[in-house]
Formats: sequence, C-alpha cells, structure tokens
Amino acid sequence: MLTDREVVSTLEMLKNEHLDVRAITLGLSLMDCASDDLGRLTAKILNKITHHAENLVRTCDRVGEKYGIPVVNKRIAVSPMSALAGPFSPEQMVKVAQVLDRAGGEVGVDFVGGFGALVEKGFSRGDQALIQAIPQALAETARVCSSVNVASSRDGINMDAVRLMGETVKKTASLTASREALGCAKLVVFANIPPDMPFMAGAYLGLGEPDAVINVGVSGPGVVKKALDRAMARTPRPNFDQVSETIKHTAYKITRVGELMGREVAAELGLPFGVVDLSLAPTPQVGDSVGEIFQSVGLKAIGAPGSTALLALLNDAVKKGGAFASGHVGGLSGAFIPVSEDLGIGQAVEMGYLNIEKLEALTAVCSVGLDMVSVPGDTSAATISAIIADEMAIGMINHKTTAVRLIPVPGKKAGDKVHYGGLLGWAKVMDVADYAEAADFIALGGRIPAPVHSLKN
Amino acid sequence: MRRILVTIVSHDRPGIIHQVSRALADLGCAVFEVSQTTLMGEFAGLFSGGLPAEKNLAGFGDDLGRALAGSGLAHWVAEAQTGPGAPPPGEAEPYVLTLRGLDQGGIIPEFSGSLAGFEVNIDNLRTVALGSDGAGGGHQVLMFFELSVPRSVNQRGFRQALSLMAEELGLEMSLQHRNIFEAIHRL
Repeated sequence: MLTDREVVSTLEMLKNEHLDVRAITLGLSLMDCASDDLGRLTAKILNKITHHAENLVRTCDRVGEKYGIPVVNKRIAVSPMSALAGPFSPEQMVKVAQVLDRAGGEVGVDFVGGFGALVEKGFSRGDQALIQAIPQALAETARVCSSVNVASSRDGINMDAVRLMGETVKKTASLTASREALGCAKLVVFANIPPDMPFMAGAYLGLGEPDAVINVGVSGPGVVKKALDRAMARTPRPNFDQVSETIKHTAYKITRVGELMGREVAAELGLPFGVVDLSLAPTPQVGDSVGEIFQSVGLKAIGAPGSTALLALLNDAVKKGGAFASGHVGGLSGAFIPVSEDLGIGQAVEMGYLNIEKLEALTAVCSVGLDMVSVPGDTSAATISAIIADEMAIGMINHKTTAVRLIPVPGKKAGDKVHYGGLLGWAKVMDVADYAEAADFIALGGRIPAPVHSLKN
Repeated sequence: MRRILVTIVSHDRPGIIHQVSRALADLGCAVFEVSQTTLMGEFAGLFSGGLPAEKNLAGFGDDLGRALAGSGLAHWVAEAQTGPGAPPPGEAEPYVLTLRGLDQGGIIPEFSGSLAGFEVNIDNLRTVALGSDGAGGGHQVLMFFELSVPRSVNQRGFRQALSLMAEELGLEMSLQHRNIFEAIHRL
C-alpha cells in the first residue's frame, strides 16, 4: 500500500513543482538513406522518418496520461546531415532541411535535430556545404535544428570552423531578423557534443548509436527548488553536505520518472531504450527555474559571488542522484542555464547580477554553456567567434561539453528586451565587449591543439 | 483445514496483537496473514487463519470470546469466502485515483459506484483531512483509492467517466498508474 506521504508528495511535484518529462527523443539513423541523387535521398529520409516516428507522439501522450506526467516535447534526432548528404551543394542541403521539416510536421514532433556537422579537426565537402546552408535552412524551416561540433578534448579547436560559425550565426540572425533572429535559437556550436542527447537545439544521433533508439530528457528545477526550500526552513539550517544530499535525493526521484516512462515508450514502439539525460531543464515559468534555486540557498541571485560554487555542487549532485536512478545515463546531464528560457536567470540579467563574463565562468561547472544569450545585433561576427572560442576552450580543457547559442538580435542594443515566446521565453540583451581587434585574432585560423591527456598533477 | 477470518476491533493500546495471537495459537488456529489499521485511535485487525477441519466454527468463536473476555476486544469470526473476488494480478493494472477538494457527502458513494460499474476493485482507500480552506467554506480533503483496473476496461471511457464526476463535484482528480509512485519513492 502507498503511504499518504508518497501520494501527497507525488501530487505536489506534479501540481506545484512543474514535474514533467521534458523531452522524449527518437534517435534515428538516416545513414541507410544515403544517395548521390537528391530526389532519392529526400524520398528515403521522408519515408524512414514517417515510418519510424508514426506512433511516437501518440505513444508518448498515452504513456504520459497513464502516469499522469506530461511528456512536454517529442522530438527526432537524426544522423549528422553533412555526412549523409555529402555530395550536395548548399542549395541542395536546404532542400534536405525542408524535407526534414516536412517529415517532422507529418509525424507531429516539435523539432528535428541533426542538420549538423562534426568539424573539430577539419571540413569535408559536405561539412562546408552544410554550414553554408544553415542560415537559409533555419530561416525557411520551423522544426529543423542545427548543431556544429567545432572542438573536442581529443582533437583541439578548429578555429577555421569557429570563424565560420561566427559568420553563420550572424547570417542566420540576419535572415530571421523579422522574428527577433529566432533562427539562432535553433543553432548551437559545440565542444565535445554528446551523440545521444535528447535536448534541442543540439540533439543529433551519433554514428555509433543504434538504428533507432529512445532517449529521454528529464526536467525538474522546480522540484529541486521546493525540496531545498523545505530543507532550508528546518532548524538548524542544513550545511552544504545536506544541501547536496537533498539535491541527490530529488534528482533520483526526477530521474526515475524519466527512466520509467522512457522505457515504456521504447517498449511500446519496439525500440531499444538509450539513455536518460539527467538535466535540470528550466522553463520561463515561476517555480521552474534553475536561477531560483540560487535564491533558495541564500544567494541574492544567480551571478552573485558564490554562484559558481553552488552551481558546481548542484551539477554534481544532480549527476550523482540521477546516475543511481537510471540504467544508462547520457546526453548533457547536469544543470542548464539558458538565459531567456529560465525566468530566474533572465531576471538576474535584468537586475544586473549576471553578466556574460560571469555566465561564462558558470559554464565551466555546469552542463552546457552560453545558452540562449541575446547580444546586440551589431556585435561583429569576429567577436561572436571569439566568444565561441573561449567557450570551446573551457570544454576542451575540462573534458566536458560546452556549447554556444548566441542570438545577435538585429536592431537591438544592450539593455533592450527581446520576447521569443513559448518555452524560449524573453531576455534582456546582454552587453558584449566587442573590439575590432577580434577580427585579427579570429583571422589567424588553424587549430588550437588538443591538451595533453596525462601530466595531470 | 478450514480457512477463517477473525476481525478484531478495539481502542488502540499496546498488547492487542499479543493477546489475539496468543489466544488463536492456544485454540489451534494457524495464522496466515494479518492486516491492521488505526483510525482516530481505534484499532481494527484482520487475521486470516486455518482451523483443523474437525473444529466447529461457532464453537471456535465461543472459545475465542472466552479467551479474550475482559480485554475490551470486540471480535467476529467468519468462514473465508471462496470465489472470484478481486481481479487476480496479471488481469488487472494497479492505478491510483486521487481526489482533492471540498469535503462533501457523496464523494465516496459516487466514485465507488462508478468504479464498481467498471468492475474495478478498490484495494485500498485513504482519506486525509487537509484542514479548512481558510474562506469559511468547509474542509478540504484528499482521498486516494488504490485500484485494480481490469485490462479489459476501456481506459479512455473510464478516465472520462471519473473526470466528469470529479468536475460535477468540484474536485481535482488524477488517475495514475501506481508504478509512478513506487518509481519515485521506493528503491
């Protein structure tokens, strides 16, 4: 028999603490669709996606209803398109993106990820064509997301790719200027991109993955916050050991939900279950914010001194609690700090507690990077590239994933507000030190060598 | 061996289980399962056991009465029923129906009637008083029913029927598979 506490606690997590499964993502290899004929390639892609994902949304909804926990987003992540569509021109790559968009629409998913490339060591012809196609592809599609991996701890940083991605971000912003540069919200530059990540905009299916697989992204910053609020209300107040334990216990519960539901969706679809991504993924709602957790533990706001230490604790405790709750953990697994998508972080920026430099410091200890950061529209491509390079260096040296999703909003200057709507939220445009010298620095090109993997004392 | 059920009701105090189990053992009754609960300080216990076939049920009841005399324990003895009962595990899925809202007469009879109509068994029912709503409008209550829902039940129709009833009574309702509670709270 269940206890009162078990029932009441579960209901509270659902009703007041925004517990949900943030994303169930069907990873789908499209490598068997490869063809040097564009018509054949797109027909095969459309057929494979619509066949395999036909019941994805319906199944997620049915399992969500069964357990009373909504699956907020249903998505598809496909093989890196630059490898698959290597023979084609940028214009033809755009056509491929349009087919991905159409396929996603037909099966009712929110996003299709994988219109991307892995170029940490150099470019193939397909990689170059794909990167050139990104701005138009993102401007002309609604669901397609793009990720480009430009660095890894093993291979260093491809600074030519970093330069190219700064320019690509700017072009994407320009082509989607009428929508507050929304195309940039679907474009992420990575170091050490995980091949099994269920979260967008970065999700793609790595080449070592199964033909089709279900990966799950959990959520739960609101649940962690409430658990910490209850712990902090006790006398005496908890010390940091106890704060960490509280987060671990809570992360365990959140992850169990994802594990249970993900496995059931996979079983119903007759697919293998891949990983649970143990991430605290916020939304722009009150009570569903990673930023608010910082206030619960006594800081003025995220960004105030102490924030990096607390984020390190939070990220580590989430991994520890979640790892115990899941058979296979993967993806990003940690805390997200997307500025516009997190009410508490957005407010911290607005109130002046958090600037881009402190945000960068936070990314050294959290699971992603500079995420959903709006910057002035006139920020130069070279400065954007330089910011990307800094973030990639953090990932490369620390053997972790880092990413950049910057949005240079045309016509906006530092301090202006931008509303993206829905889960993308709103943000104040952050001030960026944009110096002309960045162009000379970025123009150096080449590669920053990988760090040594020994001599760690 | 005859299967019997012994029901004990009393004001709760230390020693009840000892007295009852001692008396049953002394009377040759093997105890198989025990379930007990307390509500508002009152104890209720259900003992399933086995009597040697030659033992007379009425005589056993009298013997038990004498053994428990002066203890303040009310008791009933009955032969265990055989028959279909609740759906056996495997033919039903465990769900938890929770209702939250203003305490009012009729909630339990209305919902239990609907559940019976769907051949759904109530395995456990708990009601928890949540106190006043603060507006002078009455007391809030949380009820949860642990259910065995036969696999043959039309899930959508079942859910809609309960939702409609909850809406009419002004209650918040959720119907969730029990596994989610166990997954979250139990190792």
